[in-house]
Amino acid sequence: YINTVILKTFLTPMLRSQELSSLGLQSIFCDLNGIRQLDVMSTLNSMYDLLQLHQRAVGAVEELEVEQLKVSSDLHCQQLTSSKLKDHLESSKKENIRLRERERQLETSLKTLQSCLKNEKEEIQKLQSIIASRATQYNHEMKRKEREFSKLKERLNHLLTDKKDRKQGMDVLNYVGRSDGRRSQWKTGKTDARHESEMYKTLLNEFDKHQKELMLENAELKKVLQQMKREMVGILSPKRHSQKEEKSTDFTDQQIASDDEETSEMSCEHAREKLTNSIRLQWRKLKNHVENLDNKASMVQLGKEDNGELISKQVHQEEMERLKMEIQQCKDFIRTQQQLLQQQLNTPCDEETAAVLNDCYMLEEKERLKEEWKTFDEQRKNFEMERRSFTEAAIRLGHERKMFEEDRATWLKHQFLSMTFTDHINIKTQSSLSEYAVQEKNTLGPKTPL
Amino acid sequence: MNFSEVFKQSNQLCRVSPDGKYLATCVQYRLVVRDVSTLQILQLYTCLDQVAHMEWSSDSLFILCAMYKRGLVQVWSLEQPEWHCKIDEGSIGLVSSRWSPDGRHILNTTEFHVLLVFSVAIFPFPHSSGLELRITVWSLCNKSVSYIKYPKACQKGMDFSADGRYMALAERRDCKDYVSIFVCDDWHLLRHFETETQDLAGLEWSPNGCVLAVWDSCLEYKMLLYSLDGRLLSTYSAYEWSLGIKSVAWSPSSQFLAIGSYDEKVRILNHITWKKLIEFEHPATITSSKAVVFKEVEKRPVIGADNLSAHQITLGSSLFNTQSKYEITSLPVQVPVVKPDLDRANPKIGVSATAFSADNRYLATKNDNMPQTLWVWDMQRLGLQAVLEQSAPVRCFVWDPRKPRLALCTGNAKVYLWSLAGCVSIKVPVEGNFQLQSLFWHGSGDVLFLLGKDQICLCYMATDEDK
Repeated sequence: YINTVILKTFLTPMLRSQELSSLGLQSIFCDLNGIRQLDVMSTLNSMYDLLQLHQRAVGAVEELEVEQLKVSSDLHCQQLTSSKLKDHLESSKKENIRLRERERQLETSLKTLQSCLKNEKEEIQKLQSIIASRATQYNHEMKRKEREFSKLKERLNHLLTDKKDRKQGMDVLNYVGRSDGRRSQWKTGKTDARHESEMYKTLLNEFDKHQKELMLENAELKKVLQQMKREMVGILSPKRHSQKEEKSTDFTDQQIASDDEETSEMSCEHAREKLTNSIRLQWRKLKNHVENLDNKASMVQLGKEDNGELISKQVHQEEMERLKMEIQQCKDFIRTQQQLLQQQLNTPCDEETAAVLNDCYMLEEKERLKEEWKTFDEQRKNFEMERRSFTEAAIRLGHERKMFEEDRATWLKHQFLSMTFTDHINIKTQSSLSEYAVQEKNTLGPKTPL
Repeated sequence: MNFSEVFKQSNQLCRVSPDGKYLATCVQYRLVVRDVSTLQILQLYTCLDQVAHMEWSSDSLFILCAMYKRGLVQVWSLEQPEWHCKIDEGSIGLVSSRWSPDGRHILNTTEFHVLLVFSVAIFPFPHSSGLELRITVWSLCNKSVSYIKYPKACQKGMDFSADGRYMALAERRDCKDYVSIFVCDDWHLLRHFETETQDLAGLEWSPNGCVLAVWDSCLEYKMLLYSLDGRLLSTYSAYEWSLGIKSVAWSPSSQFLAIGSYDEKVRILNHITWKKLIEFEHPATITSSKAVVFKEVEKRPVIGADNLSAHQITLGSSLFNTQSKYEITSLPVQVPVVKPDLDRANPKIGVSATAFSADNRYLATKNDNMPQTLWVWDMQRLGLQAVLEQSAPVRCFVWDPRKPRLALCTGNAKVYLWSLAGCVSIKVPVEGNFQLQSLFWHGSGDVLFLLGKDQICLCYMATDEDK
């Protein structure tokens, strides 16, 4: 009851149902029998609601504080960046000013240099004109002095030649003949004409010689160009199938072949132009081709492309050098052969000497043959003689054998007739005799056939 | 290589006869004629005064001795020693005297002897007398005398063509230059024409006798080419204002004309278009080039103090004779340059001497501000072939008339030879102080004549090539 009194006395001014209702709370007072009495339930409810409200308010305050912190830090950041930007701006402005200053200075220096250059040019022109005017002045002075000088010379010459003390003259023992032995001729119009004609003849001869030389040179160069063209065409033609311009190269090659015959003798400008244009065309093609080869070769070196058909530039060049040398050697050989052949053909100057020469060559052989015949004859004679002697010997031997046979026969007869006590001895002698006879026969044998 | 003994000569007056058999030398008043192979004295003549100029006639039968001071010319005959001929120019004076190509006419250029004394005060012409008035042509065959007026006093105002048929003469009349072409047969005037030069300095026939090169003084670079019949073929001018042409040389085949100028370059003109074919520079530093650079290196003999005994010194001038040989230096090479004094007239700068070899293949040049260096150019390749760097300024260089071989001297007692095989320096074995002033070849290329101040020595070349 006291509490409620305290509450009433204290809280009534504070807790008015108007305030509570403004907060959306129930009134905590209730009317009991016309007395305002504190409703505990509603007060508790109101207290709870108030606590809720308070909590919410505290939360809101916290959030607001956090917000406020964030905002202040943001503000701080912004302030910092703004000051930095200001500084940056300042420095940029300064830089700008500086650069402008520099540009201005450079412009002024450029202007001064240009004006210097202009001054120098003017000075040069001035000096040149001064030199020119001085040169004309000097020339004029020189001419004036020269005229004066020649006048004085003339006057002096007059004065000196009038003096009789020493005269100009020649003293010679006897006149000498001309070096070429001829007499000198009178001076007439004919000699003048002769001199003119001789002079022109000299000049013409010189021109002729010159022109011949130039023509030879020209012909040589044309030949070289033709050859070059042909070779270039030859080099380029095998690669035709790999290139796109097949049709065009076909056509131009045909044209080139026909051109060759036409332009060989023509010397007019049209032909010359044709030749040089076709050479240029071929050369460009060749250049492109070589460039392609170079690229391929460099790639081969790097190992990216392995094409067995391509050989390195070095080897190719060596090959070329070798071939060139071979060609040169062959040419030299042919030339010497030609010279020798020419010599051979030139030496028999007329038929007689040729015949004599031929005879000379044959003479030796004839002599030799004669000698051989002689020796052969001699040998034959010797052989004849030998054969004759041998036949004679054979005849003689035949005779001798006959005689020997006869002797043998008589001797045997003797033996047979006188066969007494010497049988044994006779048989022996007979056998030895027969052996001897056999031996003789053998020795006689090979001699007979001749 | 054999050297003959030394003979006396004066004024560098030693000439070989055109047929190559005789050598004539002047010793003071005397004229000595020797045989070239045996060096025996064949004839001895005495002139009336000291000889200033001596010349053989083209058929080697006569010798002309000119004494300018006395205004006399004496002619001697080789076959008939008792024959005499004397030409007296009188009081008019004598500037130069020479033979005509037929060997029977003598051309004397006269001056005013008396006036010379005065003229030095009034008209200073230090380099030439400048007083030529006329040329007198004396004939030894008959009594005819021809006069040619107004010859020009210049570096080279008269030239005979190589075959001796025509003579070109520079004349000046009314401040204009003219060229007259005469037929030497009878001195008939063939052509006379004005030239577009300010002050004609020289003229020269081409070796084939069909083109005449005419050039202006060094104040203007101008080269004019005229045909034999007087037509102007071409004009060439490399630049303006600076000093121009200093030396001119035709190649023996008439194919090239070499023009050396004060800008240290040689320009070659070709005979077909008369335009510049190439210009050769003489730079102070030679870098990339196929040229071989020969440098003369002198070796002085080193003597210790103890060795200096009287005996040694009398043993010879060997102490004072320095040995020298050539070394090949590798590029780049610095050529010694002598800066000329540009304030004075005729500055020592520019190509002052150009000469072609006999086979047309090489050109030798000397640049005056590199006086110790001689340059040899290859005309086939149109590039530098060799550079010879000597120890002293080059005084004289001449090509062998047969082979491509160059002989030069620098004022000491050595003669230097260059050929394709290499370069060699040869000491002339002459006692005493022999300083080579000039040299010239015999027509056969077998003998080299070496002239000192008052001595002459012959050098017989070996038949096989030197190293």
